This record gives sequence, structure tokens and C-alpha cells, in this order.
Amino acid sequence: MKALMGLDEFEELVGLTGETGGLETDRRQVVKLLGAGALTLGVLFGSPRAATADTDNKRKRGNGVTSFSPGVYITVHPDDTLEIICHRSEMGQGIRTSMPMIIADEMGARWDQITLTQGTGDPKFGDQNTDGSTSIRKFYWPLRKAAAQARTMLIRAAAQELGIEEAELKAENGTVIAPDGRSIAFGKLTATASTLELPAEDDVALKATEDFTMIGKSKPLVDMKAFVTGEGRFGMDAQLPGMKFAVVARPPVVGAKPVDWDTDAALAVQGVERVVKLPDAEAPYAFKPLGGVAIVARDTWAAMKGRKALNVKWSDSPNDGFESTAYREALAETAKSTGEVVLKRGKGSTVLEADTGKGRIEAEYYVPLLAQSPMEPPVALAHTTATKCLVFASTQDPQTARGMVAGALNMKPEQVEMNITLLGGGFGRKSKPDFIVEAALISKMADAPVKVIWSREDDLHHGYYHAMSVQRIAAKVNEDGTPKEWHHRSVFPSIMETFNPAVERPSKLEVSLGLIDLPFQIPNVQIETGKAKSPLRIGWLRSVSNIQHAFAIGSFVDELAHQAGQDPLDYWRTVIGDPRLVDPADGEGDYTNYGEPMERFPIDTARLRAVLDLAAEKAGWSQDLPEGEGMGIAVHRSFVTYVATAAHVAVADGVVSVKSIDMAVDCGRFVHKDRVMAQMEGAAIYGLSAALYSQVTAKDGRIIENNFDGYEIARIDATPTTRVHLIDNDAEPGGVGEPGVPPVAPAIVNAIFAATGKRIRSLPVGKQLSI
Amino acid sequence: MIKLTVNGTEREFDGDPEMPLLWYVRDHLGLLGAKFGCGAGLCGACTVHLNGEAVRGCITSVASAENANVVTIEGLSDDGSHPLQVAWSETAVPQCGYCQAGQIMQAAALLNEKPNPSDGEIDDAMWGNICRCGTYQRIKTAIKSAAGGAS
Repeated sequence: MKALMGLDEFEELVGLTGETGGLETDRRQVVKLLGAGALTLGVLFGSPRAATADTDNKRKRGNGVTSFSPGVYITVHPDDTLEIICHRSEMGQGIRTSMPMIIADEMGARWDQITLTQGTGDPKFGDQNTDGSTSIRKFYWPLRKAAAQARTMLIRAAAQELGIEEAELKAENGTVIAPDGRSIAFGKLTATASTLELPAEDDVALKATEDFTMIGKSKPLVDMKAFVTGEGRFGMDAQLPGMKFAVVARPPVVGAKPVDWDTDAALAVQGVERVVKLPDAEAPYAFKPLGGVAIVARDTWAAMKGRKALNVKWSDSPNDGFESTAYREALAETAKSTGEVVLKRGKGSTVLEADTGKGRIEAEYYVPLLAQSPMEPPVALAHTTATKCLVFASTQDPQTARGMVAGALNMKPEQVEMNITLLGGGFGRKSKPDFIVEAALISKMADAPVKVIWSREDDLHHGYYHAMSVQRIAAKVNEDGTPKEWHHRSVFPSIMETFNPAVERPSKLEVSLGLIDLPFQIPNVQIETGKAKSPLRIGWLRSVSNIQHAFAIGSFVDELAHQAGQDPLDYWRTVIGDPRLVDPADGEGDYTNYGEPMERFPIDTARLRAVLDLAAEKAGWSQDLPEGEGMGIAVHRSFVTYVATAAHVAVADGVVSVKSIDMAVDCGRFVHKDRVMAQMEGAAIYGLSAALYSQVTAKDGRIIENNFDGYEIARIDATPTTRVHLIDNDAEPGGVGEPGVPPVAPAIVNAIFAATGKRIRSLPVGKQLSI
Repeated sequence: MIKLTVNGTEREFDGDPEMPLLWYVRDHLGLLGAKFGCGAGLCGACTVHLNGEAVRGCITSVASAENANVVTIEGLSDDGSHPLQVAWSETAVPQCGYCQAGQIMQAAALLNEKPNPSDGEIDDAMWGNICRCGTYQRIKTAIKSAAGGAS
């Protein structure tokens, strides 16, 4: 998330959560690193680590042999292994495979000489927050430059040893090769390379695209065998000697506190060893544990049984009245009045309010509360002693987790060792370290290593939900059906309120997620936000506010097309308009562009149009379809990547089946082709779940859905034939994990309209077609 | 004292007979391949074989496995060479990997019963196994590939 925020917004957040000293300290370090990408590298490579030839930059192995380590990610050992540290969390995107591909390709290393180590949470690695689709986007160039520095030094070392000019040598297959056929393995060059000065990162030559041997291709996942044999170690699988197992009874309503519970009954359960109370939580809830009562037991089952026996009585909460239907109505009421203008282009628009004349079209869209629901619920193992806390957790954001744990224990971040396991899915949930802090606190109270396991019910009841939203859009169109005015109002509680109770409308960050970056050629545009306060913790979920914004905008374009009697594909082309670069600042929008400079990562309508055309072509857009079938399309740029989705649906007896989905993707330079395809295939299913099935609802302040019977997500029989069409170009690397999701829901509802003539404006589709 | 066989080894358990097999194999035997996803038989991440049939370890008590033969992903093959494990690797099915042991155990039980399942039979057999990463298309491909290879 840090990468998603404007820095000032992030600094603000830091100040607001500064009550936990550890968090503040750690986050400020992160902010410094974030504030200057070059500094990050300076820290890593600008220090004379490799040049001084002292113990600091050499790593000893065995009898004083020298390894070569020109930075924090790369070490060449004398036994010819190339040790790479992966500092980003693996949660299904394949980063533990694609990161070594970047380094090995640029170095000229062999794939089979790599050993991969997972880095612990430590600011020395730069940004580790595996969120915002940033792992490749933010590290493609730093990793290539680091690898090129290492390669240059190895070649320089070989030049010395062979007495040949550096320019005559090349690095390939883990060796430096001379024109006369002589070669030296990387491992034989470590001692000499370690005596050399580190070249400036801008002084080293990078490989040309046509010389890539790995980047842009595919490799088997480094964790594949572990996955298929059950040997992969996730947070759920973390173990320490003497470990205890804990579950927590948390307040069923945010803000409630435990007032009474039956410790004796819980202790009477075979295997239950302790009952401990966690500190009560106060707003802002931020990343803090929610409080409650924990059961510590000798195994998971005993802990779960013990919790049932606890019979906790809870205090009242100010949020007891939260009811999701009434809450939706309140958002809709807010959406009826003028809000805060976040973008105004041309003369703006008031068409939502005033004009009832000819050529005015209006619609209201709704997206419910959603839960990330990774298959592995939140889980963490911690061992807290007087001086140290050892953690193993499935965390997306190890540095923040480390800072939060340190703050909760009154320790310095350096006293917390944050080990990152494989993540059984993340989707944004595991960026929030509340569950990790729970483990650290319970371990301290139980004086033993403790693994805290969240049940599925815990995950659904105590989440950081994707915000519920109501949006209204109105347009005024010309005679030919093209819009001359566009007026959009988006109302939802902000993620920022979770960190600052004073926040009362969508933040700059959130309006930059598919709202004010509207890429349409419409002369008069006005975009507003409305006030909303949340009775729950709100958090980010795969593609965040792009979900509701792409749904509303993508649906409304389709509605305008049908009103105009035009083919939706042609209409999309018309509203996208001429090839050009769009800058929301032209309309005085304060746009964060996913933390990237507009010069290098512009909003390019030519690329948007290209993926739209590609998806339509591959889907067979203009084909005749049988009765009850239809095709819909939508296109959206998010995380600086362009994705168009064409969906083909069949509706029979009120039941939708999505027959096929074509995803056309321009994410710029990609690293692991098959993983990009896989992320898009997965995004199609994630988006389909939100479109058709998923919603979180609440009554009396409590979440109603308990498990996967209530919170439905797509199963195998709902799987469309999914085809991914990847544009291969040399544009700056864009995000991959998230941008596939936003265009899926609008494409599906547009297809449903084509099939049935029924317009779905509220997600999920659920049973709406059978009524 | 409950006696059962797990991956070919005879075991005795004198704890809570209601304990689900999932927590028995994970917390007491250290077999960590079967995963916890829902605790209610709704997601299939915990799937193991009980006398050759796929069952949900999270809602199957140790008592109900008395004298039975339990196989977890660790016992499916010695070295990851089961045709489904090979097909899973070749098709690059897993994303996060968490649900995949359960998916493979479910698919293995299917192929034992129906060596060449139709699309509908695959959907029916695999319906109870959720993958939040959305790898279903590749799961179908891998099952067909393994089935084709076996026939």
C-alpha cells in the first residue's frame, strides 16, 4: 500500500499511528527509502561494500574462502552457487521465480547454479511491502542494475586473471568467456572480484532486449515440487520446539470489549493450558489486534474446543446498529447531493442534479462489502522472550509487521526477527499485521512459542473489508449519442479512516484508483466524492477502489452505447478517442499514478485502445450468438497496466454461466510470461466471484456470513475458458497481480445485458436474474 | 486407544476421539501437507484419503478412522512422481500452492474411480475444492493430462 500512496498522505498516516513507537520508527525508515529510489540503491550498492575487501563485504565460508557479495540481493560463492535473496513475499504471483530470472539473465548466470533465500523483514532490502502490484514494477531496473554491476565486476576480475581487455570478455552460463576459448567460472572469480571497486550503477551496460535468455520467457516455479508434494511451508506450517497453539475469541462487533468469560470451562477442555486476555483495542484500529480472549492449548483442536467453552459476554459498542442494507441506503442518500469535486475538466458538469432534458442518462451502481478470503486464513507463529521476538508469518508486509510487533512489545525493530513463510494467498489481507501482533503478545503472556490460527469464521468476521460503495453517474449526450458532459459521484468510506477516525471521505489515493484517471475524450467532466464513515475496519483488496470504479464506468459506457443504438465496442472506441496522453492534472485532479512519474508511466489511450481491440478480435466480438447468450467488453488501466476483458455469457433459467473470457493485457516489459498469464487467469476468476457471488453483509453490527457457504466464491464448475493475450513491448514494466481484476465484472454484466436485456447495477448478480 | 494406519505406518492415538484427522496428522504427526481452509468441509484444502476415498480431514474424526488406512499427500508417492503430481508440474497449476495438496488428493481419488473422467465428472468431483487464486482451468487440464497419460 505504501507504494500506492502519495508520500504526504503516507507521512500523514505515519504521524497518526505514531503512538506505537516501533511502527513509527520503522515506517519512517521505509518512507526515507521510498522517497528516493536512487537512495535505496545508494544504500545497497553505493557504500563501498565490495570495494573495501574487508570482512564487511566478503562472506566467509569454510576455511576462509571468499564469497563475492556486491549488495544485499546477490552473492556468488566459491562453490559456484549464486545465492539470491528474495525480499518480496511469495503469494502466488511467482516472484520467487521471476526475481531470480531477472538477476540470472542480466548476470549471465546459469539457472541451475541459483540458490534462493527468503529475506527477513529488514529495511536494508528497500521496500518489501508486497502490495500494489509493485514487485516487478519497482524492482525490475534496480535488480537488473545490481546484476549488471555484479557481472561487470566478475568480468573485470577475469580480465585481470587472464590478462585480456575487459571489453573482449563476456559472461554466459555462469562463466566469463574469452575470445580464445578460455573461460573462468563465476565461483573462481569471487576472491578477485571482492577486491574491486563497485562500479556506479549508471556506468554498467545493461543487456539489450534481444539478448535476453530468461526475461520475457517462462521457467518452472522454484517452489513447484514443494507445492505438489505438500512440502511447501506456509505460515500455517511454521513450527518451533515447544510450540503452543492459540485461537482468539474476538469482539463480534468492532469496538466491543469482553466483560465476562468462563475461564474454568475452557481450562476443563482436555489440552487447554491457558486463557489470556488481549489488550482492548481503541480506534484508530490501524494494524492493531482487535482484542478479546485467547485460548492457548497443546494442539489446534483443543484450542478451538476451548474457545467454544469460553462463552464470552461482550460490552455494547457504538457500532451495534450497523446493518448493511440501511448502510447502503445511507450511502445512496449521500450520493444524491453535491460532494467534493476531485476533478473538473472543461466547464465541469451538474447533470447529476439539474438537467432533466433530452439526452440525459443516469445510473446508480452498488458494490457490496467484500472479503479477501485467502485460502490460508491469517496465521502467525511468534516466540517472545525478554529481549527478542522470533516470528514466522505469512505476511505481505514484513517491515510493517516487524515495527508493529516491536511497538506492541516495547522493543526496537532490531529485536524482532521477521521470517516470511510462503503465503497461502494474500489479496491484501496479509498486509495487515494484526494477527502477527496477536501471536507476539500471546507468546509473551504464555511464555512459550505460540502459533495463532484464525478460523475461516474469524477471517470473515474480523476482516479489513473492501468498502461498500454507491456511485451515481450521469451524462449528457450529443445528437450522435457521444457524451458532452460526464458527472460521476463516488461514495464509500476510506481505507484511511482505519488509521485516522477523522477521515470522512475517499482519499487522494483512492480517487486515483480508476476514478479521476478517466481516460475518455469528453469535453466537460466533473467527478466528486461523498462523505461516508465506516463501522468496520476497511482495507485494501486486490485492485482496491478500481473494483467499484471500473464496474461503474465500464457498465455506464455500455449503457450509453445501447441508449445511442451503437455497438458497445465502437462506442468504447469513440469515448476513448484519439491516441493521446491523459493527465488528470489538466483537470486539476490530484493524481498519484500508483506512485510512478507520469513521464515514464503515462495514461496512454493508444495502449488502452490496442488492448480493447485485441480482446474484441480474439473473442470474436461480432459473431452471431444463440438466444440467451451475449458478449460484453470493458477496458481499464490500473497499476499502470492496461487490461481489456471480453466476456461471453449464457443465461438460462436465471442462471448465468460465463462461457469464455478473453483478457488482452499490456503490462509493458514482463519477466515471467507464464506467471503473467496465470495471474490474469486467476484475476478472471477473482473478478467473476465478485461479479456473480460474493458479498459480506451485517446485522446488529455483526457479519452474517460465517464460511464459504455464506461467502460464496467461484468453484470449478463456474470456470470459463480463459484466454490471455499478452502484448509484448518494451514499455516500462507495469503491475500484474491486480490489474486483471477491475474489467472483469463490467464485462460480465455487459454480456448479461446483451444476452437478456437486463441491466445489473448491483453486485453480486446473485439471484437477480431469476426474479 | 484408536489404532489406524497413516501413509503405511501404524499409529495409536489416545487423545480426544472427536479430534478431526486434519489436526491429528498436522499437530500430532507433523504431516503438514493437508491444509486448514474452512474447518467445515466447504473448501477441500484438507482432503486426504480414507480407505481410498477422498474425505475432508477437517470434519472427519480420528475415531471414525479407527482401523482405517489414511493417506495424505505425503503418502501419495515417494518422490512426487504420481501422474497427477507430474501433470500438475507440467501444467504449472499452482499459484500460491496452498490448496493444491487437497486438489491433487481429490483428483487422485477421482482417477482411481474413473480413469478417464469427462468434463462434467471432473466438475462434480472437484466442485468441493476451492482455489482462491483461480487455477481451475489448469486443474482441469492437468487432470485430463494425467488421465490421458495413464490410459
